[in-house]
Amino acid sequence: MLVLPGRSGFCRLFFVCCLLFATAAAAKVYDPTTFTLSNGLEIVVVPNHRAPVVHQMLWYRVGAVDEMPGKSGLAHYLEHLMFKGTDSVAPGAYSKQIAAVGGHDNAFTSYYYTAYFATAPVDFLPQLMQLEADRMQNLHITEEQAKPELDVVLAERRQRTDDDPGGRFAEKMNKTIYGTEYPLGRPVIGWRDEVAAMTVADAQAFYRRWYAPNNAVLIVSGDVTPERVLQLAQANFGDIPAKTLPDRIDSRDLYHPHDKPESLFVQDPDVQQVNIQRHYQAPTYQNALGNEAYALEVLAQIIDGGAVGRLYRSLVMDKKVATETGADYDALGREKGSFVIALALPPKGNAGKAVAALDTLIARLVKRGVTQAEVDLAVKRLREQAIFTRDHLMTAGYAFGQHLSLGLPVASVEDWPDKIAAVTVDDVNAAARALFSSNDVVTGYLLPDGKNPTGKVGKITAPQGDIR
Amino acid sequence: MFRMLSRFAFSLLLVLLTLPALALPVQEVMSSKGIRAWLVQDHSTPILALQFAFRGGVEQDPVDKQGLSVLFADALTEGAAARDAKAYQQALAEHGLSFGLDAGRDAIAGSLYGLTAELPTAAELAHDALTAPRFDADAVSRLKQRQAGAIEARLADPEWQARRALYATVYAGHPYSYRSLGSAASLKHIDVEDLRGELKRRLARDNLLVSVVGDITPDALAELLDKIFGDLPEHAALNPIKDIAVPSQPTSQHLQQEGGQSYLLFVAPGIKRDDADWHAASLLNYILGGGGFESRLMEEVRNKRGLTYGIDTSLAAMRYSGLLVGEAKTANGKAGEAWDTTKQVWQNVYEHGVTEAELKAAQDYLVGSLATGFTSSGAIAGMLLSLQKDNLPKDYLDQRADLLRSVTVDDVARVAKRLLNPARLSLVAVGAPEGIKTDKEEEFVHE
Repeated sequence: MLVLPGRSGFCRLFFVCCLLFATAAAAKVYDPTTFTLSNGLEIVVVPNHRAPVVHQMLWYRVGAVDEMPGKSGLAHYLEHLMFKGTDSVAPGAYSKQIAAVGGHDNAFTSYYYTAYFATAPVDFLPQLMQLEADRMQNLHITEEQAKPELDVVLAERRQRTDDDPGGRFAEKMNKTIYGTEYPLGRPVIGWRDEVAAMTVADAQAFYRRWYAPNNAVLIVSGDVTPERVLQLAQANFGDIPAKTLPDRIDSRDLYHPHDKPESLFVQDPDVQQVNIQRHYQAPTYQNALGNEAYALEVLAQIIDGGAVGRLYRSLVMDKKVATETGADYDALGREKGSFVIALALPPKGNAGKAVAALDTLIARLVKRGVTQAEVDLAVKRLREQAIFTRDHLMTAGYAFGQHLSLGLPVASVEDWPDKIAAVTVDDVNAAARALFSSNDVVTGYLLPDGKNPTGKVGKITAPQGDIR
Repeated sequence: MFRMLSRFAFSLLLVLLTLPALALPVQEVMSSKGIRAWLVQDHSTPILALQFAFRGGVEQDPVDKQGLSVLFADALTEGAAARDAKAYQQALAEHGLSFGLDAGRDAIAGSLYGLTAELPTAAELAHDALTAPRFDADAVSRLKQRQAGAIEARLADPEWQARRALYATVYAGHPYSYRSLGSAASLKHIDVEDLRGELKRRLARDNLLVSVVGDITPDALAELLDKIFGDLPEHAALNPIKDIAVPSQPTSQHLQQEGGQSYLLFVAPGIKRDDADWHAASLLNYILGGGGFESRLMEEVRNKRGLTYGIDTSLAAMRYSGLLVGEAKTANGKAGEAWDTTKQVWQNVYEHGVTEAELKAAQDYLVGSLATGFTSSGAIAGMLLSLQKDNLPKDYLDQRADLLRSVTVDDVARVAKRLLNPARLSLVAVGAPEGIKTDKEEEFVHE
């Protein structure tokens, strides 16, 4: 099993996380209609008439990075409390009403946004919107409801992080990469002691400050027309007043770049298979120069690319030092993007050899560059993904939600295939040189602790040494 | 985590596995070589999703070669006919095709997905994998190493350890106790000749099921079916497998693990999909623990007491057996209270059944939720394939709502008496749970 980067959101219940499939940004495919209400609510409509079903997502532009120091986990706790009733809807009744028509609903919180969503038969859209608009302004949190829910959140933390070796590792990685002051260095779900100390007053204040139509994006996809969605949105959200939003925390000065490559070794008694993860600082869509972000997406496709990528070919097929590999570039961030390479090793795999093979691969790539054939294939495959994404009802909501929450325009999604198509060999090579020449890189090793009979680990001496 | 995800998805599928009374006409297509498929035409996107299954899954493994089916299914797409592994995967990538097979319980399932413009290449690659796989030594040894790595990762997974312990007890002596990936030792017993043997007996036309959704006409599909599957042998040679019932004596096992949290896995006898009580049982399961945030167990264990982040139950309807499986994670110190609360809910439904309002809500959900499962062509094709695996008629989709609506509270009460006897509830607890008494101490397996 490959341990993947720990940037994913936390949600109300585990099973929806699988819906967070990477919408690497969809393509000139959705052809959406967009509106903005006078109170600032942005609306995106993507008709899809395959089945009489609708998918509604409401994204608030607020997440864990907006929490004040000492209040980590507050955005996520509030997300849970959003299901605990309003002045007119009883606790739990929200989900019950949706289930009563065969629909389902959930929510998730990430660093930059908090999203609430439901899928239901299309006839139910008026009620879906009414329920969502109601809790935008009328949330009613009582101690009686909030207290057991705090225990639920603590149980969620235990399940996902404290008692999960991959979760523990991800938390340590983020702390090593970003430090303790920078918001991305703390977990979305919050540090345990800070979560345990949260109060109803904290949640109410956060709600009043950030939950407003001018801080939200509504995306509706499915068997609808834009006119009908606009009419319903106007009727349900139109009268909710806009708010003066607080200034965002400017945390740029809180990030201290690593001046030399750093390694993190975590020996865990609950681990048997060695996992390695390398994290490079990378630009975002917003702060990348020229088309660097798109070039990095093509680069990630060349390096990963499933069974035909450089990583799998070299480390798994030829050198046999790893059994699973992955590379992922994330350009969706307010200040920081990331480029991550992950490896899982065979039994008794040698971590030193695997990382040496990775270093060789990168050095060769930087020195000789990528080929035209590689770029052509990567571009073709990425553009095909943009077609395949149309085949899924929910992808539009995730793509527009992520992009618009970060302040990116609709075109950032719609023009994506064209931007990818314009990437050249030189662009990829320039982006690779910039990325891989940086010293701001952390390599994490998740290792068995050596006490386990099948997961013996040799002595760890040096970062690039002979680690087993 | 992902295991839980997929199991939940599986249980949803079992419950939802019907199409609603909407414009989703299922056609049966028969090729000239006699290969049958269910088709839903959808010309809105130039995409085809073809899913298929060969009956016979990991329960077909020899007892000393557990892991064979999984290795076999993986090896089919690692080089075929003139293409070695690299060339084969390169061809898939260059044509934008996803194609792979996966051995599960009761079947080897496959999926082909891509743009319709690429169908000629898709047909050739799929045909070659199913009829002329190479099983090159280098590829096989690499796959074995990957499988060994996956086994190692599982050994560290408490949920997997719990399931292994449970199935070893509940299905002792039956192939359902087998480990799908095998063990380090069993992998050593598997060689290329074993894979060749499996090819002769596992993939045939008489154990094949196919469903297709997408941009294709029935005539074009008939042609495609012959191209992909037409050269397969007519008959498979599967080992007969016996039905197995859950033992009437429940067991309770404890696997010690450090950490602050316990994992509880509990099972009761379930029912098979062809049971006359199936719809009543799925409604019962929804009310008990299958219904997301609304179930009795979620209400009592999570919402009221905050003892867990999630607790759920599902009907695991297998070809030769049925289980009602539940699971929860809880803090060690709260494990006793969580388990006691769970048993009280169980006892209560066993004794008193469910209310009219609960049944109505469950019926509304299960009837309505059908359409909300139609999120992609692959999802629809998967549902169609499940129907075929369960030997349901093509028009089952039209009957399903009525079948669910006709279930009464008396039916549910009767099925509750049949399935929920608290005295037959088995438990595996992993961790250091306080306040739970178990009969047997067991240990994690280490290879």
